[in-house]
Amino acid sequence: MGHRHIALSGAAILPLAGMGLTAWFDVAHGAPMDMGMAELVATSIGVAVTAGLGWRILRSRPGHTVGRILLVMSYVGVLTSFFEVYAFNGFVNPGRGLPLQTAADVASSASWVTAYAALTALAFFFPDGRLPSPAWRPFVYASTVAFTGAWLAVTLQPGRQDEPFQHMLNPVGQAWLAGPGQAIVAVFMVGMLVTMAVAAGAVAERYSASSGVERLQLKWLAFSVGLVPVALGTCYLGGWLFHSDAAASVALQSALVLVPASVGVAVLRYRLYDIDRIMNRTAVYFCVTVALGAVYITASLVVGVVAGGGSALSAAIATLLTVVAFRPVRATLQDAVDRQFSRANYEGRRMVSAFVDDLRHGQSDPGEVEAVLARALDCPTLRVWLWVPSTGTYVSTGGTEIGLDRAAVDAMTRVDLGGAHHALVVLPPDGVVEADRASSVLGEARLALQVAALRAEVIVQSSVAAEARVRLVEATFEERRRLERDLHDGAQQRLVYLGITLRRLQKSLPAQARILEPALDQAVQQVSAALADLRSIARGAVPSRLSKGLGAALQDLAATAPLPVHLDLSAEPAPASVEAVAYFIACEAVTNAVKHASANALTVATLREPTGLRLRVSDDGIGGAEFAAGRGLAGLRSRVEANGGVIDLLSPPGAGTVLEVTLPCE
Amino acid sequence: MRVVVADDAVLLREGLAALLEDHGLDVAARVGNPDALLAAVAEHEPHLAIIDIRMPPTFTDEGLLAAVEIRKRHPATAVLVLSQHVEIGDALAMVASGGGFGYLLKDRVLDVDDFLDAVRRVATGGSALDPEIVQALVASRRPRAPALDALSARELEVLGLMAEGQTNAGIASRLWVAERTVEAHVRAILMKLDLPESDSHHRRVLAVLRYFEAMRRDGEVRRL
Repeated sequence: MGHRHIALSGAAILPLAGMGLTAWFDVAHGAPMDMGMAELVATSIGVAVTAGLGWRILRSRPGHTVGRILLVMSYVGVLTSFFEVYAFNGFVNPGRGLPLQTAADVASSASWVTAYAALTALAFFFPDGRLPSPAWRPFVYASTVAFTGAWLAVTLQPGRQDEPFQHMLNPVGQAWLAGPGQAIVAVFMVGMLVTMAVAAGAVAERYSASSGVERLQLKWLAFSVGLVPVALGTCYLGGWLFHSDAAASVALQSALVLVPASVGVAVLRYRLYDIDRIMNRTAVYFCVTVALGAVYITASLVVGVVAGGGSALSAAIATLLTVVAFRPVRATLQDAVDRQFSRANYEGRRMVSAFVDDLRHGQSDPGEVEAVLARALDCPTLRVWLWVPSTGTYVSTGGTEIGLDRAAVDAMTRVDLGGAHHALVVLPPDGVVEADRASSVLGEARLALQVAALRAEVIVQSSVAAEARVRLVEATFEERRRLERDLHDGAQQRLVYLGITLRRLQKSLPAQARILEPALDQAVQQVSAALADLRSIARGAVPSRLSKGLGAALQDLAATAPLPVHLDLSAEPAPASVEAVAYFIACEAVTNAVKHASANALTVATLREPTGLRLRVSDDGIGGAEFAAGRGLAGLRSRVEANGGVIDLLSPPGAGTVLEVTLPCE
Repeated sequence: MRVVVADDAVLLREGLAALLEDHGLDVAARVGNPDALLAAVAEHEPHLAIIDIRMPPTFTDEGLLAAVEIRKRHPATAVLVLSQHVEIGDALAMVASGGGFGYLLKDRVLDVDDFLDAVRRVATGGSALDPEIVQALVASRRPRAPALDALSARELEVLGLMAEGQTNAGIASRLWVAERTVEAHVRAILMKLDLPESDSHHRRVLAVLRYFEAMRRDGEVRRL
C-alpha cells in the first residue's frame, strides 16, 4: 500500500510540476504578459483541480476508473498547454530556433479531440467507475477507435495550420487525406459524434435505472455538464455587451474547473452537498438575476425618458425598484421552479401550508400533523414524536409515551421553533426522501408541530391533574371511613357500656338509695343523647348503608324523606369514593328541594356511564333556583367541582327544577 | 331463658351479659366472632342469640349473615341483631322474613324494660324492630302509598307499634287504651291496607312488615 500511495501521489504531482515548468518556460522566453499569463494561470488551476481530484478519488477508491480518467485529463491539459506555449514562444521569437516547434503546434491542435474523448469516457464510467452493463463494452471499443481515428485525422491533416501559424505547413500532413481521404476523416468525425451520443445514452440509461444515491450523483454530473454551455453562453453575451474577450476566456476556464470539481464531489461527497437544492437555487437565482436585470433596464429607460436620460435620479429609482422587487420576484420564481422541477417538493409544501391554515382557523386537529407530513413527503413510515417539557419525555401524536435513547434521538430530524424544541421526525434512511424536500416541507410544518406539541403537553398535564384529584377524593373517603370506624369502635362502644353500667347500678341500688333513681335515669338519657349525636356524626362521615352501595343508601334516603321520592337507579356500581360523594350530593340536593322548592314529589335518578356517574335530582316545585352565592346550591356546586365533576341546573320559574351532576370515574 | 351473646368488643359483651344475668337470664356463652357463635349455638341450643351486626373479619354485616344462618340451621333459636346504625333495608328485610327475628339499635339496651320485652318477644317467635326505624318508615310519605294517608293518626300510631312487633297488650299499655280498642284499630288497619286477617297476632305483624317492605321497594325502577 505504501508504494502505491507514493506512486499515486507522484503521478498526481507530475502534472502540477509540468504546469510549473510550462510557466517558467513561458516567462523565461519572454512571452507576452497579457492574455497568455492569465490563461496559463487558469489552466494551471484547472489542471491542479483535476489532478488533485483524480488523486483523491484513487486514494479512497483505488483503481476507480473515473479517478484515472481525471488524472489522464490533467496530463492532457499539461501537455497541451506546454505544447502551445512552446509553439507560441517559437513563433514570437523566431530567432530562438526552438526545435520541433511545428510538431508541438501540431500536437496541440488536436487537443480538443482528447478533451471530448475524456468527457465521453467519463460519461461511460461515471459514477462508480464501471460500465452500466457488460453490453456496453463494444461501444467503448468503438468509441476508442473513433476517437483515435479522429485524433489522427486532425493531427495528420495536411495543409496550413490555424492562426497564428498560417505560414506553416503540417510536417506530418498526409496528402491523401485531402481529397478522397476527406471521406475517411468525415467517417471518424461522425463516428466520434455517434459515440458521444451513445455515451450520453449510457448516462440516460443509468439515470432511469438509478435511485437514491446513484441518482444524486448523476444529477451532479448533469448539473456540472449543463453549466458549461450556460457559462459559455453568458460569457459570450457578456463579451458582446461589454466588448471583451477576457470574460469569455475566464468563463471557459472556470467551466473546466467546475466540471472535474463537481465530478469529484459526486463521487466523494454527494451526501454533504445537496444537489437538488443547488440545482434548484441555481435555476432560481439565475432567473432572478435575469428578471431583476430586466427590471433595472426597463426602469432606467422609463425614468430616463421621463426625467431626462442619464440622470442620477433614473439610476437611483431603477436601483430602488430592483431592490423592492427582489423578494416577490424571488418568491414567485422559487415557486415556479419548484412547481416545474421539484414538483414533489412544491406539492408537499402546499399540502402542509394548507394544513397549517386549517389549523389556524380551528378546522383541523393538531394530532393529524403526522399523517399530513407522511402524505406530503410520500413516506408512510414517517413518525412524529412530540416533546413534552414538563415530563421530559416524547409522546406520539396519539398521546402514548415513548422512551427514546440518546442514539435514537440523534438519528432523527429535530424540529425547533423560536429556540424551543418541539418535535422529532423520523424519516427513512438517507436517499428515500431528498434532504431538500424534507427540510423545506418540515420547515413549513414547524408551526403545526409546535401546536401539536403544546397540545400534547396540555393533555399530559390534565391527566396528571385528574389523577391527582382522583387520589385526593379516594384519600378523603378513606379518612372518613377511618373516622367512622374509630367512632364506632371507640366512643360509641364506651358510651353503651357506660349506659349499661349505670343501669346495672340503678338496679342494684338498695331501698334507701332509690331516691337516686331519677338522677341515674337522667344520666342514662344523656348517654343516649350522646349516642344519637355520635350516630349522626358517623352517618355524616360515611353512612353505613353505603357499604351496600349507592342504590341502597338512596333507598334509605328516599324512605326517610318528608316528601315522596321516586327512585330510578342504575344497577352498575361506581367506585366507593365516588358513590359516597354522589350520596352526599344527593342528600344535600334533596334537603334543598324539600326546603325551598315547595314540591309535591322528587325524583332521584342515577346512571352509570363509561366515564362517570350521573346523578339527577328533580322536583315539580316552583323552580327559579340558581347558584346564588351563600345559598345551598352554590355550596353544592363547590362540592361537585372540588371532586372534578360537572353540575347543571335547569330551573325555569314555575316549571320545577332539575339538578344534574356528573362525577368522573373509570 | 338461655341466651348466647356475640359481640367483638369485650366491654360490651361482658356488660350486656351482666345486664341480662341481673335480670335472671342465663347467658350460656359469650363469643366474639361468627364461627365461635355458630359453634356456641350448636353446643348450647339457646332460646335466643343476641348478635352485634359488625364482627370480624370485614366488620360490615357478618352478624347479620350469621343470624340468617342460625335461623336456617337452628329454627328453635331466635336471633336479635344489634346495630349502631339505622339501616332500614336490611332490618326490614330480615324482620319481615319471618318470626324469631329482631333488629334493634344498640342504644335500645339502655331502655332496659323495652329491651327485655323485645328479648322475650323474639325468643317466643315474635318480632322486634327498633322504634326509630319504624318512625322513619311511617313518617315518610311514599309516592304510591295513598292507603297510608287513609289511616287516622291513632291508626298510624297503632300501625307503628305493630311494626315494632308489639303485642296488642303492649300497644294498649303504650297508648293507655283498652286492648279491645287496640283490636278494633288493628282490624281497621288491616282492612284499609288490604292485608290478610289472621288469628295469629304474629302473622299480622309480619303482614304489616311485609307491607312496609313492599312499599319501600315500590316506586323504584331498576335499570341495568
